[in-house]
Amino acid sequence: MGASTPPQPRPDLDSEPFWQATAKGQLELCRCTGCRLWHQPPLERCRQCGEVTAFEPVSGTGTLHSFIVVRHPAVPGFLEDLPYVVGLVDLDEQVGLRLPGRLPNADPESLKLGSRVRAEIVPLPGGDFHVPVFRIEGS
Amino acid sequence: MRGPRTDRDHAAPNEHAVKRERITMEDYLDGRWINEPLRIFDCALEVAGACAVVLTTEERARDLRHASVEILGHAEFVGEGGSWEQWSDLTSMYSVRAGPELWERTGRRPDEVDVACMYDCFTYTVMVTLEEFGLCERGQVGRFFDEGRATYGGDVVVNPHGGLLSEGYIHGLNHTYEAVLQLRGDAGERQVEEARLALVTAGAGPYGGGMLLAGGS
Repeated sequence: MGASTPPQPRPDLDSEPFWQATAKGQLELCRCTGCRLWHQPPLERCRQCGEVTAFEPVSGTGTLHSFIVVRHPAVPGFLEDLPYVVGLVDLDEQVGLRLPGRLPNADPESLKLGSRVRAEIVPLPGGDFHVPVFRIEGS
Repeated sequence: MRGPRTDRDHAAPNEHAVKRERITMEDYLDGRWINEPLRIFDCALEVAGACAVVLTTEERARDLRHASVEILGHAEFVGEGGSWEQWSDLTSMYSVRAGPELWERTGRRPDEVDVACMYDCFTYTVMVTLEEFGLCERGQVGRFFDEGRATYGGDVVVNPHGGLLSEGYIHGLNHTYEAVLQLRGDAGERQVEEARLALVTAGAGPYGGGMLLAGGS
């Protein structure tokens, strides 16, 4: 484990289905089986109606809500990518359903809020996990 | 960005502060980026240190050697299950709910506050929470600092110890310590004149709270 290995996820009961899905190259999030509300981060039961939840695929498309430019390596990993962009993406499935993720090829100088993005599942260096990153649509 | 400079001005006479050198606007802008939009002077200082607060009953407090201060009330809020990235409006924080509730619970008003010890993990936290606790108008916090309303001789003295940005990050408990010093009249060179009421906040993003302390008891 070198200095440039990012922290690895530690799946728990709530998040394990998310990591099982990304291992298959799919993006799935937690959703209420009753009222159909999406939950991120995942919950065992729905915050709105109390029904049990299950993981379901999402399209992975959305709009860029906000972003930061990491110029100082506050966490290990991705040193060779500095500076890099981490964004918050509003997914199309539900208003306010957001996922954070790197935008590996985004240019911080020309990046605009509200840009259309699409999730892509990529390997996380240093282990067997896969994570979603976002790419600007059409790039 | 007047905020970090006001903070350093306040820290200058504070022997507990880790950073006491005054900074100029040029120093601020020359500061390297950490995570853009935050530069080095926007970030609290990671330090090793400690402080303690003694909490007791009113009856026992009367027997103590030092003057005590009174907790008038507190309010806190946790939104969106505490998840930062799900928080609906990133220009807002927990204070959008905890602020109004604090005034309602205590029956006091923001314009009565003499000392505001505002949790400052980053400058941005101070900007949002000052507005949402009602100490300055929404969207006006930049001018509030520029016009000298956040320092001695202004509306309220914000972080007279220099805050976590200059004194150091003792997890924000040093804000309570400073508020108590000020209300007891023990703050020495940086004493806020006739400090009677202090607001202390902690937390940022979707979760946090505020506490109102009164001196003179």
